[in-house]
Amino acid sequence: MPLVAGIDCGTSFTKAVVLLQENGTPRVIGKGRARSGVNVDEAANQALQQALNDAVINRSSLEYVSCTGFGRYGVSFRDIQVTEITTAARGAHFANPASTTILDIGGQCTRAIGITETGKVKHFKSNDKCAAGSGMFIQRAAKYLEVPLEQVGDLSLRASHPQPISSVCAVLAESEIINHVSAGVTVEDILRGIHESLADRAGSLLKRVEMKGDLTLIGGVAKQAGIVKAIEDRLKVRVHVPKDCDFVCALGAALLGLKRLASKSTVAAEAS
Amino acid sequence: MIMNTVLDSKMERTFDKCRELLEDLQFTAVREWKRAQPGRKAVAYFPVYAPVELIHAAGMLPVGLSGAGDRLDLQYADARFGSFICSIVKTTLEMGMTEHLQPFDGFLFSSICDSARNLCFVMKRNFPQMYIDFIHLPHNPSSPATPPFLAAEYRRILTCLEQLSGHKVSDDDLRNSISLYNRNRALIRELYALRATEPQLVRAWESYLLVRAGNLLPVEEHTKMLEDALQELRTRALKKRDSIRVVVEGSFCEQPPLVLIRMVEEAGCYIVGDDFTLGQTWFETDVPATGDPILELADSYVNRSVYSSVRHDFRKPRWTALVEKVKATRADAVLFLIAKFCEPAYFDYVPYKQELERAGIPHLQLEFEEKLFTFDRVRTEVETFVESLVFD
Amino acid sequence: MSEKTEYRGSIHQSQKDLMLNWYEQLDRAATTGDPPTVSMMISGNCVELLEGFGAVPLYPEVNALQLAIRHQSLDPILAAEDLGYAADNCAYVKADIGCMLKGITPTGGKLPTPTLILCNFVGCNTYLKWFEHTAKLTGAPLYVIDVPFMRTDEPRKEDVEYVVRQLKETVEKLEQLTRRKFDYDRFRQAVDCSRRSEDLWSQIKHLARSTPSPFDAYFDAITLMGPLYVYRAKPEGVEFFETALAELQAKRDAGHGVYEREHYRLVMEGPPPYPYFRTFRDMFAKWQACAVASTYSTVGGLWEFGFRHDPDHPFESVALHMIEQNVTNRNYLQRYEQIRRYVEEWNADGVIIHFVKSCRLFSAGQGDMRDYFTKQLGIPTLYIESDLEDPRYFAEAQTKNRIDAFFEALEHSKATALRGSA
Repeated sequence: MPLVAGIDCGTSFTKAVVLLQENGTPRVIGKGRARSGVNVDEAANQALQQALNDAVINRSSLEYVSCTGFGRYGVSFRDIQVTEITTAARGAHFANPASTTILDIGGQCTRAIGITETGKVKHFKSNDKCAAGSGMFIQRAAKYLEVPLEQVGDLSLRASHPQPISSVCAVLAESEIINHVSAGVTVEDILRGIHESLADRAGSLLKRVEMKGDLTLIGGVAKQAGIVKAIEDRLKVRVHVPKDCDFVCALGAALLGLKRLASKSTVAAEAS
Repeated sequence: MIMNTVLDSKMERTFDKCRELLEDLQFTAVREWKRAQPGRKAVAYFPVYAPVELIHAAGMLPVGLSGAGDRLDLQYADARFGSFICSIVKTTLEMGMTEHLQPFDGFLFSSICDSARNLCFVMKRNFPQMYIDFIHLPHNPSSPATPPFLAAEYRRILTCLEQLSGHKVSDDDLRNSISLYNRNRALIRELYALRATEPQLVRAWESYLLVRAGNLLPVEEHTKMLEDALQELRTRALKKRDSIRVVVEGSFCEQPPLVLIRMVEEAGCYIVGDDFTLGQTWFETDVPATGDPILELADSYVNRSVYSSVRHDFRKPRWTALVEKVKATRADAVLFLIAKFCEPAYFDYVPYKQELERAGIPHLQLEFEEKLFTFDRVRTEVETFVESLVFD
Repeated sequence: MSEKTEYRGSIHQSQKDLMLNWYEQLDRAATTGDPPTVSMMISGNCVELLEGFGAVPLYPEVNALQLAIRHQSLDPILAAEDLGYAADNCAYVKADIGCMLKGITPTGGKLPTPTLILCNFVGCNTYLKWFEHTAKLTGAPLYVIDVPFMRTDEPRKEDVEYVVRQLKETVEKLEQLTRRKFDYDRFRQAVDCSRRSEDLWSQIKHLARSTPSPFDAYFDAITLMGPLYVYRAKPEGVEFFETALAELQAKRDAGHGVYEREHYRLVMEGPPPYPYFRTFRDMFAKWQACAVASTYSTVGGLWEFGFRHDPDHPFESVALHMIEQNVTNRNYLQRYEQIRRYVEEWNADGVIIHFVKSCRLFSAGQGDMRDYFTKQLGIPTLYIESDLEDPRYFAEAQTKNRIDAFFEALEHSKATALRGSA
């Protein structure tokens, strides 16, 4: 019964899962989370320890540790590092095997991933050029509109006449928002407009990864109900948000760890 | 083992020298070359291709400039070229405005793209003391009138170069220059062939340094350097890495930062083919050093050139040539490494992509700027790409 | 107010009729295969040559701008981006290719697959890519006329010979493709028609030297440009420009300008933002500012400084037109000089530089141009950025503010100058 861990070292939070494989079926038995801070190694340790406590397991019984995310190279006790795109694909595929398209809306970057039926990355496309296409833009808009971030999703749902934001550049988009405010457009309609514009932009990324069937939505913004609705309406697609959408990458890393363990081939992480 | 260490440290010194050469915005080597024999002149050229033989035959030093990388902050050029214009155009102008081009007596541009072409004339206005010229490299290879036209164009340029150097150029001078550059290009082809057959022996960034140094060194000196390096590289005892084989396409003009090339390799790729500093690998076979040398040079541009996003040859599409290159180098995939705002590369990406997909060749598109400072995202994308090809 | 600013004589209607008739011919060509069609670029086009085959030109740029002006450009642009074109590729190309993918045409009629894709490469490197890609998409044959760029003060003898040789190869190619014999006499007649149209067009442009100018040499000139590119080599074109000249001359003689009172005279550099054409125009109309000259209206040909096609040397004059007498194949400094002459000879108050992100030919280096006009010549110059086809790059409020600020400053300096001279 192989026991492995996956750690996702993100820019804000480090997430860990402990995975146990019984009769060929992997199962998450512990989860942990820590603020990433400046020391990746320390954060990874903390998150992992939490997950081990959660699973009531000793560190010594872990057979393999896979790391992913921004800080993946900073974890000294890792067996392997894999990118967050590869792990997002594996984790999302595990959570929802029917879906072959993943949309990851993060703070800095929105990413579309097309995967094979076995969870391998086939295509991916990131939108890193325009800040107007990512979560950070929502944060800035919420700040400007004086709305707490956690209310953005629900407010957006209450819109009656969404006002689209057509500019692709964050600076221009912000001046559009200002124009909307001075034209008396409601906060709800503006927020929904932002969500719809984000959805449209995601749509063109998704087309480039040949979107098929249901969509799995992950990343911090996935928690906003408004964006889910906007994507469903605008792109005419069913959206699936995994229960622990923050842990998808850590889970994917752990799953790949299981595979590596099984193939017995140890790929030494090149110390760089 | 000891032998290898000695060899390697000798190679290291060569690489260091090359790196110093191409990072030196004062162009100390060019200044020294001029100082060694007062009255000698140096002529710079903008990528991608220039008939360096003409400059050489006129007794001057041809220098291939590839922007200023990340070593120059833009104070003037941003205001002159505005948004949506690639970095190399701006850093080249900036070098002029900050007197970094002082060692150069002339500057040649050619018909590669609209931004570079406009830059030529903007530079003419701003630096009237310098000989600046524009070569119309033809885009219709099928007409019998094309080689004679280009020969006439080269003769016009040669007359200007003769005036600049004060040295009349004979056909023998030209044939001699052609032979020297033929030898140089043959060695570069050899280096590329070695990388394709034994990629563990020479890393792409090492090969890149060796080749690009030729943009700044006299051809005789560079040829010697290549000869020595090829001999030494072959004796290296380096073990094979677990890497996929890729062809890099799209970096023919603005050059990616060296760290980016290294990063691609560290992320698990052997770069077995590329179009870095493409002008130096421009001809597929030797330019005949016989007959009318100007006409031979012109004819070679029309009929012996490698495929390139800045040369339009509708007799044989570039996309067919790319697929052939992938097969010839036995590459697993293509990495598009495209300079930001490089319109020729952006355009060609579409037909390239279509043809690669038709041939079942995986590919990944990446964008860079010569002054890129953060590589995390690019690294993640290359690693993901490699992972998608190696994991079950 | 906006109604007043636009010139609407009888030529407005005949312009529409001519263009509709053109689209009908294209529709017929698409349905029946007749007449033969040749796609070409506007810049330095050699439409005269087509007359020798009774072939009709197909200008993808005209289609693209028609779409933009009708606010229909974004969908095809997005379709092309889905195919892999970059955000920073020319949006004219993306709109055109997007239309092919989605089967959209500006009039709703059909557009033929051209008998020949003839890339007249006149300075715009994007043309090469554009036509190469459409040839790949449609399977139509491609020929490139490589026109040497104006890198010397005068065209070189070798340049002219080279282009003439390629024009003759084009004739051979078209003879094969159309299975028609090239009618040299008809070609000469076409060249002569062009000469006459150009002469009339040049006279029209010189009318704008009067104060007030009877028409806007940027916004109104665009209306006249369609017939200029499609019909100048035909008797209908000559007739059209005769009427246009007569109407505008009458207007000038009566002292009627574009506005109640012409307040400012401008030279415009760069293509217009077609997706916001009207909005943009109104930003100048507000200040009663009239364009008296524009570089964009010389894309197809530069005739106001005296060049004409020459029926005695038909091939050579077509070659000269392609090499020297259109703004896109002239070098940047020649464009500075063109604008400088406009300011001086057309008596303008300032220069507006409109940077369009799609077109590096026009826009790369316009900051230097601004430097030249403001610092070296002391001419008030405004530099604004948007796009000619992609509606996503027009920042309305910002653009308006910049234009208003420019005119406020101009007004102030005019008032100061008046006080100074009083």
